[in-house]
Amino acid sequence: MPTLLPEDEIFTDPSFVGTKADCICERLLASSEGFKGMIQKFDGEFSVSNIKFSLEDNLPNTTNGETSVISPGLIGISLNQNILGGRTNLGVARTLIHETIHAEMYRKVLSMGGQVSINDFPGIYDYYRRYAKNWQHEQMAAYYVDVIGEMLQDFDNYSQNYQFYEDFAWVGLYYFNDNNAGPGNHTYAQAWNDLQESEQNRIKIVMTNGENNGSKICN
Amino acid sequence: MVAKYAIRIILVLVIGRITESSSQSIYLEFDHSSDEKCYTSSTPNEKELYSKFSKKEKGDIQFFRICMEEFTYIQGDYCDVKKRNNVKFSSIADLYAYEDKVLAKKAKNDGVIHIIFRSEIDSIFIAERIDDESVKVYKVSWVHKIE
Repeated sequence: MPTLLPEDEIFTDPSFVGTKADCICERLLASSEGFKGMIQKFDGEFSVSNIKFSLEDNLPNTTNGETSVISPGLIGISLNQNILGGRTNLGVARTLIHETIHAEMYRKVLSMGGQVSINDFPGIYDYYRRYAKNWQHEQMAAYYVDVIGEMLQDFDNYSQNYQFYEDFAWVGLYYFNDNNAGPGNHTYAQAWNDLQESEQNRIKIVMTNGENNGSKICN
Repeated sequence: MVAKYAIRIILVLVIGRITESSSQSIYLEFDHSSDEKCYTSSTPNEKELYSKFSKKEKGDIQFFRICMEEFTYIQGDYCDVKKRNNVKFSSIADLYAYEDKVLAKKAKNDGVIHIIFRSEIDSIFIAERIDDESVKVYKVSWVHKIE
């Protein structure tokens, strides 16, 4: 039987309850109003969809997490159990935020029954028309890097300057599985290609540091 | 009167054939004992090979994973044992091409985008290898997901 996180009416699979991921999710909810606000949109009473967190043990090590539409009324976020222990708290928080933004994008599409006009959600309309099956990552790279950065800064209690968190938000966004080209094919986000080379180099260093250095224990 | 019925029957048969030929069934081969691998990467320099086939059960749902794609079979849905030779197998690349076809069919120039979830795409089957001669065919739902 799924349990509920105390702060919100979101479901957590038994695989998730009491784990490091659960602890980081609760810390995110407590520290970031932005993250909490996003999660509250899935409140069972008012939303078209609920959200459910779980851990998966059959994902490749290069996959931190994934978001799936389990049914029109339920969106699942799964984190990779196999690599969870070795990841930094900040890295896991970034994955939770990244996947929750995917869930939010799906929720918006589901709320329109899959048919979105420019008046409903102009961003989704525009990015789907331009990038077809890659629309979510392209839109997230263009418009959500600062949103993710702010949530990470809240989570990390402002330990670093804002630029660090915004740079770290690029993990999973600058380069992603190309859904238009099929399995095994990857592509760089347009917003990444638009950055100066010096910015890209700075971000690459931050991405590596953020994934490797920092606390890996949540309690 | 007889001629009228004959025409009706012919029409029903012809329409039936047209409907049949415009729909497509995708049979994906699933061999849990296979050593085949897929590869994925999260950065341009980080490539990883991992098992092509994996399977698990949660309650009355079976989850089949082929590379990064996942399919669910719910206990009680269509499932049957068939001769391997009678099944025409498709690859994951064929499945993507089929998805593109479905998306193109749904696209209209009406100022609205029509986003189709993969679970809405019908007629996808997993053909799980039993032995050299037979497979167990499951009607599955393609899970819509993103990393």
